[in-house]
Amino acid sequence: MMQQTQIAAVGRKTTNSEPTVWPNLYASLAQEQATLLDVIWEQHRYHEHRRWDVQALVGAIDLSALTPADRFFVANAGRAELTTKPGADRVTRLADKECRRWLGTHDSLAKIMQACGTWSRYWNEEEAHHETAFNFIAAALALNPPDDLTVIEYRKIFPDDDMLRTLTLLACSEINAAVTYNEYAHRTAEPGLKALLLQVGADEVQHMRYFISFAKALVDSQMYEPKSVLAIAHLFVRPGGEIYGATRDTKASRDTHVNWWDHLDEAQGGVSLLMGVKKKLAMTYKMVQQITGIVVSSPEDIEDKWMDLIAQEQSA
Amino acid sequence: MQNCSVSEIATFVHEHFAQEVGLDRSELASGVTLADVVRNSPRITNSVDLMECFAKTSNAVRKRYGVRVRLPTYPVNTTIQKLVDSFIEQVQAQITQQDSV
Repeated sequence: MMQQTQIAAVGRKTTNSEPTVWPNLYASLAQEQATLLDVIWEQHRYHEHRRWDVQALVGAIDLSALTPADRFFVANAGRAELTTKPGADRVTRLADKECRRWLGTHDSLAKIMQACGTWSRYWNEEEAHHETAFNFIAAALALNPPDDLTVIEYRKIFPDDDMLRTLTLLACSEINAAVTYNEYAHRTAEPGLKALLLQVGADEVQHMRYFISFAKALVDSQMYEPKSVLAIAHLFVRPGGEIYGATRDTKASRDTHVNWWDHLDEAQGGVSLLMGVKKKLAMTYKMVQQITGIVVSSPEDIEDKWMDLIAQEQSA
Repeated sequence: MQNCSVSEIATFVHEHFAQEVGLDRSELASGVTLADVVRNSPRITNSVDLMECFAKTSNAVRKRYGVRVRLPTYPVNTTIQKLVDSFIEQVQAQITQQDSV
């Protein structure tokens, strides 16, 4: 079995090359240039390549040196990261459901869904590092860590939606997280916390790349519409949109699940988990282009192009 | 375009939005909220679907009145009336602007 996998993966230079997010997933699977085992092998290589030790990184932080701003940031990050497990659980379930739905009528798409569902195990495990690291610090320093009922509340599994919308929303969420961690990593003076934040931020960028890759594969299959990508991008970047999360005048109240960006404390001393809006906007524009090929350059541009796609559908 | 009244625009927006969400206009009385619409609609299940209904209504307004209504960002406890008012306000402002050119 091991030998077969190695043989199948020879074309990917598994032992010598840097692991990466599989490029052009739809073409690879549809044209039978790769099997699911090839894709899964590459996912596993990347996961192993990026593994790190929470206890080692947390142990390197001088907790007594953390400033009030550092403490504020860590406490909010710990609470926000609680919602990634239900997010990943949802992707696992939805991807398998979609895989069974397409199997027999569009097998390439069924394979993409299976590749996505399989990868969700790595995503879930990697996010566990983030949650436990920040919440360990929050508990150790008595920074009002989430109590048991809060943990249970934040674990509510997200409701199902269209798969392309779901993947795009997760890419947007990872953009927000990655930029925020990176921004604060460059503000904190404590070297251990800086190293932890840079590590977590790099993980989030990798997750974003995976979500973009799966979303692009769905668009490439022509069975999912690019308008879904623009709709979610619009949801995030419009004035008062999700990118502004807790700073909005009025927040959405849901009884189905918790969006982490709706439940952050008010910014303290210029620190919040909503830093780097300009960078987040730029990365969202790039994401839209990578998934759909459509070039966008502003929130208004996204709205216009999304509405044009809808108008074409209305007049068809 | 100069002759269109507030009530005409309101009726158009109301009717078109009702059609998009699959409800009767009578089910969209002024006190009804966007959350009620998502709950009661046979066609939509979440706020992204709802946003798409705003977009389709805006496209219909553009086709009918020749003006582009920007989509409002409202929380789900907003009333339908507030949404319709936002559309009317934008249509009137743009028509007035066009007339003064």
